[in-house]
Amino acid sequence: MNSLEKGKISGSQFMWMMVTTVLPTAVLFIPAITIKNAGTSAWLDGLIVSTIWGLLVVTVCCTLGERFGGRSLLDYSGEILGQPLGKMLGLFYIFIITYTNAIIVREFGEFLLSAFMPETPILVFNVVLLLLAASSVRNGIEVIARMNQFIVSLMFFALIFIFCLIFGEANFHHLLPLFEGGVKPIIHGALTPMGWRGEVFLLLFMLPFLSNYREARPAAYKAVLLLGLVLGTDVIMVLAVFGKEAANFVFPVHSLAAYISVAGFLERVEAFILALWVTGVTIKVAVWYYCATLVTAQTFNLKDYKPVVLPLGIIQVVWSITIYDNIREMVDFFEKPWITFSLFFEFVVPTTLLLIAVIRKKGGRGSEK
Amino acid sequence: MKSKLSLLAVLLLVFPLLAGCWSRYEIENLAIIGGMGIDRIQEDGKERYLLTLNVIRPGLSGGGTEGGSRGRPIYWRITATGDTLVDAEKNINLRSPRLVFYGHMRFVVISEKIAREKLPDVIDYLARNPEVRLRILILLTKERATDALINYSELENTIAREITEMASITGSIVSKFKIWDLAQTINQLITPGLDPVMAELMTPVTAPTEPGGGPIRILRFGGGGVIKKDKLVGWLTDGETRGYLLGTGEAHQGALPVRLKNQPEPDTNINLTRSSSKLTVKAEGNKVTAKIVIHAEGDLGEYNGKEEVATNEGVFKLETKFREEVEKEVRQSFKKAQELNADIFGLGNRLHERNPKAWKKMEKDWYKILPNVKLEIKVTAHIRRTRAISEAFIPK
Amino acid sequence: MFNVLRRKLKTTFGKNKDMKVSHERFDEGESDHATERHLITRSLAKNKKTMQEIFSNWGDIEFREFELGTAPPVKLMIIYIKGLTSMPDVHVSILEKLMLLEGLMEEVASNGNLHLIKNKLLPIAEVIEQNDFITITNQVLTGDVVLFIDGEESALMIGVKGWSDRAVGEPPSEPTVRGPRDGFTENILVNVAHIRRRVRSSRLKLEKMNIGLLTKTDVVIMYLDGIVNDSVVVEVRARLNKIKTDAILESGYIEEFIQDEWLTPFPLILSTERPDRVAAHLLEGHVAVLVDTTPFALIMPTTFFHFLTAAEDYYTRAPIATIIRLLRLVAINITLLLPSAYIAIATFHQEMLPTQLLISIAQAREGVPFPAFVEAFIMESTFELLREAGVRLPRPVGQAVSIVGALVIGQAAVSAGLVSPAMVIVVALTAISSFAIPNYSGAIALRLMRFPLMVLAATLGLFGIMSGLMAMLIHLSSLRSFGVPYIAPISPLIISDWKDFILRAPHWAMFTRPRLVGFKEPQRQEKGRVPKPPKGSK
Repeated sequence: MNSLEKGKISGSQFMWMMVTTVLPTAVLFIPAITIKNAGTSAWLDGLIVSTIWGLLVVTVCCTLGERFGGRSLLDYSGEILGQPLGKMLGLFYIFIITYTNAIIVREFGEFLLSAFMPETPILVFNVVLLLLAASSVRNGIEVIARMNQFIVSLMFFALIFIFCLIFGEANFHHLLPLFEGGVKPIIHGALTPMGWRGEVFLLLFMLPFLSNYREARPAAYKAVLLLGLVLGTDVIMVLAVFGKEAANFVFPVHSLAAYISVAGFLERVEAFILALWVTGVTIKVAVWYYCATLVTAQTFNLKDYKPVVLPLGIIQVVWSITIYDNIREMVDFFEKPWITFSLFFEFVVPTTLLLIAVIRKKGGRGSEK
Repeated sequence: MKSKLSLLAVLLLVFPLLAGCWSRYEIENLAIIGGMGIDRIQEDGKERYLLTLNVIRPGLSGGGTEGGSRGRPIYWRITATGDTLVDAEKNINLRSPRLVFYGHMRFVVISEKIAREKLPDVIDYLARNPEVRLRILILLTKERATDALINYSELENTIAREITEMASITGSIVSKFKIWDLAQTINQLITPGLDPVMAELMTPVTAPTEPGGGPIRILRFGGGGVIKKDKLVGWLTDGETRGYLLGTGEAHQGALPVRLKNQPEPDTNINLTRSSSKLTVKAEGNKVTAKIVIHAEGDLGEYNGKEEVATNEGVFKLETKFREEVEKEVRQSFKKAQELNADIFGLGNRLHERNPKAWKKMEKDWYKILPNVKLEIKVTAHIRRTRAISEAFIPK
Repeated sequence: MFNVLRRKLKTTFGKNKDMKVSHERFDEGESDHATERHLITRSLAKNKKTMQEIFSNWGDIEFREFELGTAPPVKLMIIYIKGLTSMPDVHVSILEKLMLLEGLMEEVASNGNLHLIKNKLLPIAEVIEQNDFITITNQVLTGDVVLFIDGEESALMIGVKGWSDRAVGEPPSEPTVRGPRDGFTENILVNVAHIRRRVRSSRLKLEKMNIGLLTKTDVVIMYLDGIVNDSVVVEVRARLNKIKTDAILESGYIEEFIQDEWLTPFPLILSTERPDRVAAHLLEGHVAVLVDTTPFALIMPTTFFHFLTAAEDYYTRAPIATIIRLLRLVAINITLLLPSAYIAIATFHQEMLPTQLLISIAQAREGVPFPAFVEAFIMESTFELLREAGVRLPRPVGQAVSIVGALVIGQAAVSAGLVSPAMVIVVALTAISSFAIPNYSGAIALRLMRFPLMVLAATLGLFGIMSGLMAMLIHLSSLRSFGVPYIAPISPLIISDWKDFILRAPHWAMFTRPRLVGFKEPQRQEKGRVPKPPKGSK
């Protein structure tokens, strides 16, 4: 592993990276989907239910990683499952991460298309986004982490800007009634955000870059809690301003930003705010992209991950274009297959690996070092 | 490092090649729309939409005097018909050399016929267009909407500006109309147990305002149209609208003429300076009672009686009148709402928020229950001061 | 694409064998004729002949033969270059002292003339024995006087360098309202003295070297021992030692040889002509490199934000300095983004403008034949042209250019309908903002970057601008200056360094040095030296 990447990141850099791994697209898509499914209780999903799920994923992944001394999943999957199965797992994750990243790219392309320039071919956005991500990937994890620190501040600035300026329009009666319809819609609404929150499972591959891998667990917990706070606020504000109407918006946060009007002067800022968002998404894509190239390099025992960057990029561009026919297919995908899909690779696989490792007594104190 | 720079170079080389397409319009190629009017008319033996747009002529508006001297109106009023709204929108381009640009549209006027029959279509059309902002104001008119889009403005330099300023500044001074924007309108339309009252734009023709000029059409707000579910069911007068606004806590300032003594003409005017209201709805079995607690504050705006009012008792008397007047106005509009069987005060919504179980039972026959709802009104009214003078100088 | 270019450059310059051969020749010493005879002889006549060979065809070399006023007289000869040597010193301290001895000594021969002259007769501080022609030649070339004594195997090098210098004046590129007014000159000794006067510490180390096989330019590395990161000094030294070239004429040569990355618009080494600024950076743990004949010192390592600070920030009051820095931040954003934002908004995001402004712009653009991008490009290029002309033109013509420029850019272009008034405002704002950035090379980098951003804005609107900025950020994040990340206090995030970043904390609050350069001795002063009114006063 160390031969592939020499860069090291600190605990706080890791935490912000986990935040960026989830936040940029989640903020855009989650409110509409949860409000549609959970109605006025949607904010509970964003704030609490999916956060608990995120903590669970972090616990499983960190326990697994720490059991094997902070190495990357691919370093010990062979140990747990035997070499052939371990490599199969590698192939599986190459597919998963690349595919998910293609979805992320598509999501954002769709967003830009609807929000900015409806007449532009989506290919342009996707290619530009992936080119930027590819060049950050080639610069290594350290540069990504460093950029991310700067960009996280931009994203939070954008969000706080939106939330503060729209606060005057918020009507918190829209959050009532609480718990209408019982627990079922809440759980239903939480499924999609759960899958999103579970994206922190990428830490399985990023543990080795931490200067001290034991910092990963608290950092990831903090990241998940912060995400809960931000996404919870996100849903609350959308709900408070638009009520259930928000369920029909494609990008409620975009509408939120467009709805800002302070003293008839500070208005029409959505394009500016959402241009800031481009940066966040680039980093998100870069993190996923980076993990994908790394897993590929590890699976095929390459000495350098850089030759993989270009082919994976091309695959992602192609996938991101062909993956859905239209935007509704995409949103439908998030509401249905995505849940099982993400549940499987974010939670079921790591948990199974952990169980097998415990049963077969691999890793842990005995085999550390 | 290398990759990055080469990447940058590639980007820079590729982009100029791609330039010149996609969503790129120079400002001078855009027809900036100030407002829109939607009508339903008979054409070729069938009902079609009539779309009227107010296009700002940039060459004339900014300079001011120059425009006037050439004698061309600041607005270009253009109409087109179509089977659907988008069809009509596209048909505009049969006449317009510039692209219709809705990014700066400020208001939409909807005629009564549309409001009675096609409101959901219009709302969908407006909300679906990404260029149309959620802040646009939705107005109803009893006349033809196309008449409301006059091609001159009286005080501000554009008519759109006049209407937005009235909505945001002067509207809350009189509290006789309330303009909702698109997002608010949609929100009220889809909330069960809440029926919106949308502002009415009147377009009377006045006597000549300038020497030598002919009679002109002016714009005036007042009252509102009650939308039940998705259809216009009736109109509120100015006074009823204020009752509705007082009852929902949307009234801010306004003039309340009252009679202090029993006489035909009002002799006193109380200035409303602020008000708020709180609505609670109780359901017992099938009996629903609503309680509106209103807190109003005001001062003495006009008084020409003989009695002393600038005393403790005088003010107390005034406050009693104030209270009665507020209650009367709210009751009147509540009565009107019950007559129209529309839930403009949002009783159902409040019940839903606070008591979802009871609401679930009643939701289906809410409009059967509504006419029998008993209303309690509690007003606390305060006159804080008598403004610049105390008693009347020349009492009648 | 650039790989190929780079490889080509290498083969053209790096692997040139002739160059290498000549290098080796130079390395052994530069005296072209006297290579076989290195040492001087006892015979004055022979030595003179050798020296004459070395300095053949030299119009400004002076051979002066005379006799020591002893009995018996001793033949002497001084050689110096006119113009590089202080003539009063030669007259008064050398010739007068040696020639006007009357019947002085009889015991001459016992100790040797050399020691007599060196120890008793020459009232000059710097006198060194030398017997090697190459060294002697090199010394003469620096302006020293060489004294040959008949019958001695060594000559005396007498340090009486002196040539006319520009007087110390205000640094023209970095003026201040409040702060010292002295700037560097072309004389490295004076420059070093300026710095030494400010930092009177024995820990201020100075390493001297000569770079340039023909120019033999003096180069000095300065640093504060114990504060500086030693590995940076080692790295600077190594990079300077690696330079094998024949000429160094300006600090810019050195900068290009030792910077971390050449293919970037952003300066990776700070150059300044203010000694106070150098001193301040030395005290933070930076390394300074001074080059003779250059009124600029190089400071390394540097971060991007050093280019946005001015010396004056530290002399004005802290809150005001902070506000000025915020203003500069605004200036940077305007310089970089305003023209592209104008293009993006005017062609893609018209809904962002207030309606009234949109109408005004539409009205102004009514008669303009070009798209917004072309309009902006023409105007911005014109501005760059004017700026360049203004710098380059002889001073008397400058005024004419500015008048013509104002007419062309402003009035005439608008009334001719070539550009819209809005565009003129945009260009003017950009220009003013770019001059508000204190460092010239920093400003010019940002000014250049706005052109690609304009292209991106014209293609993809705000998204284009953002992707351009992202590419810039990726580039900036990957840059390092002598091991220090280029955008340091932001990423990696070092909160403690934010005290001197956008914020300029009061001096008593800046009690630690910047983390990445001054970590060896982090403490500047005690913590908590907050000024307080004396106790007992109300």
